[in-house]
Amino acid sequence: MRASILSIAFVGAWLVPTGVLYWILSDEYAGIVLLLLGGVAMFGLAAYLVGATRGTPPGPDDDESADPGAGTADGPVPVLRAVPPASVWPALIAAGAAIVAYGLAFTPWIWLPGLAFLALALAGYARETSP
Amino acid sequence: MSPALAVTDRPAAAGDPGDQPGAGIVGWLTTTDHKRIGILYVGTSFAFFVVGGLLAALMRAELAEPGLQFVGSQRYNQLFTIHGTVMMFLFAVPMATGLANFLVPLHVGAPDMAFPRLNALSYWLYVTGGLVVLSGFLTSRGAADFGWTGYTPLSDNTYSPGAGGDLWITGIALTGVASTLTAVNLLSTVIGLRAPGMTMFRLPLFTWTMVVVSFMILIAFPVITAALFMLLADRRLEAHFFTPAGGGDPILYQHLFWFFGHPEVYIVALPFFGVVTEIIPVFSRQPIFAYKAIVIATVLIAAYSLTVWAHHMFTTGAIADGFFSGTTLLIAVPTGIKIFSWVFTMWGGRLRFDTPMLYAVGFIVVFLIGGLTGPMLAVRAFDSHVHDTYFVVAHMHYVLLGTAVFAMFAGLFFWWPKFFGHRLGEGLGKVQFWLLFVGSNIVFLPQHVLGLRGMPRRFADYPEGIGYDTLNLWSSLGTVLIALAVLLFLVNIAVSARRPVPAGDDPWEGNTLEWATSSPPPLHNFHSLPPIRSARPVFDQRWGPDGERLRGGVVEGDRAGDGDRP
Repeated sequence: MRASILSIAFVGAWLVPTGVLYWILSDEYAGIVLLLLGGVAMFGLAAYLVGATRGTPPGPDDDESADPGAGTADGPVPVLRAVPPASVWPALIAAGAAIVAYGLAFTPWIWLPGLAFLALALAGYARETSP
Repeated sequence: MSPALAVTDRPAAAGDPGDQPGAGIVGWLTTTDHKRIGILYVGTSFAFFVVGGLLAALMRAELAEPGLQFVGSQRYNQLFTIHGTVMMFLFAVPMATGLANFLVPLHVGAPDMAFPRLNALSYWLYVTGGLVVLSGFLTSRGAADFGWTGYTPLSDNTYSPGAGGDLWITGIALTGVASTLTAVNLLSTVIGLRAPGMTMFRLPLFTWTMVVVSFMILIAFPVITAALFMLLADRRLEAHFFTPAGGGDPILYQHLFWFFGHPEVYIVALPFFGVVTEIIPVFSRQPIFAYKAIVIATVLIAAYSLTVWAHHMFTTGAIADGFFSGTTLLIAVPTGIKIFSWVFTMWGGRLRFDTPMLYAVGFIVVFLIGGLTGPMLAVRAFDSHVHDTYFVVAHMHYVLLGTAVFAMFAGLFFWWPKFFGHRLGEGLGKVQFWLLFVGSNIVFLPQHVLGLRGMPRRFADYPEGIGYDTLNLWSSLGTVLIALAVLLFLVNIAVSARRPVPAGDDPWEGNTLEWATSSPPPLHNFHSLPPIRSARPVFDQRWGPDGERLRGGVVEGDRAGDGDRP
């Protein structure tokens, strides 16, 4: 995890000074905003991960001598995570999104019902539980 | 067997994954298995590759001689717009995503992606987004015709009216959402689901590139999605983000587009760098040269790629030339590190030129030719002369053909046995390679000269007798060879599927974890994992600490003698 957080923070630590340099060299605003906000977003992600993993010892995935039976980052028990069942909702959400995409190009009479369909599909996706 | 090489069995899951449906069409439509989704991605993006190629062939047919023969100017504009869109958004990125879908969970020793249903959602959003873009051809004014970059004011509703442009915007936005979701999924998988002992600096380098690319997607894709919706608002709601008459700024669109668009080039290239970085060590019988340098170079390429966007805009005269010239020249350094690393991996190795390796070497050559014209274009003075000419077309096609096409074929030939349990034909593969290699050089090498002679891109016609005719004819003739190569690949798939020769679990003597499981892998990927003590766990498992061969052996008899430890 430490390496992951460091690599995220590295991107932030790259973008912020670059944004400042760009600010000095250029009077164009879009790039300044994009670079600085990109850097802030990465620092935010790294800070979240630091907070979320505070106090937890390094997992077996960061232990160079861990054995395959030592489990995953999710826990010490070497139980395979159950593979989730098949689901029809992802394809239906995409179909709903496509109807909305067509509607935006043509008329609200397409995207309004499309939006309703999309909401139904999202609800189905959210309510679906593993057996 | 020494204790360090013991294989630990994984207990079967509670509620074993028996509830995935079968191989029928419903099974594929509703699957959440990362391997099936990976294969769907690869198949769909290859289909889009064929579509994009056909559009290119139509353009080359039109350009074979001066005058208008097959398509009018309007149709030609649609052809190059949708060709670029299909190849960038619907072929190159999704092809890399497909390989990553199949390989990343296997590479880290996980049973699936972190969010399997989200993974399926990404795929379906990509498919529907692609179809929305292509369906523009069915509208009365035809598909979008303002170039794959969609520059304003050309793309506003005064100059490009019609639903085709709107469908282009909404379709691309859907594929952008799909890519962003995939990036979240891949990052979560690598951060949270690595097997015990699989530390970050033992990750296979393909997976490392996908980690880095996922970060780039998270930074770049939201920007293009926002820009596209601003453009849609301009077109449909008179919003004036990019129209000077309403106080907007057309150059802002270029900034937003290229802040996404240049990282996009590396989002396409890096995964395919990863593919050849996996292949070259296997066929050189050597470990990769300077593993950590490759990781650092990958991170540096990503970092620089976020700071070079406006080198596409030198001729606007409204950007900081020095900043973008400098960063663009700098990005050649980490890219050079990678090329040296590939060459030094081969240096002194015992090379085997099976088809994947042939393609990997072809990739280095083609990519290097494209890469060398990059620093030329980074120089502002040179760029002003060749901006919007065929020189730029040649540069970007060499770069992208090297990565997305040559390295793609390398990867497909390499991992086909893992996908389906049988290999693709070697003989046909090698013929295909030479057709593609010769063909693509015939198509794109003359375009450098055309560009230097001033031929502008994106025109359906050109004047006779000013030095464009012969070179254009050559360029068009080369297209035939490329088309034959792609056709041969499809024949190869059909022939090898009809008479499949079982390849075994590890036909190439690979290094990384996907070769430790069966071909194709079981639903939950591994019955057991070998101990992970280096970046090459399967290699370690094959060879004992004192150099004795413990496992494996190759399928083909002529390689059985390759007994000594590399």
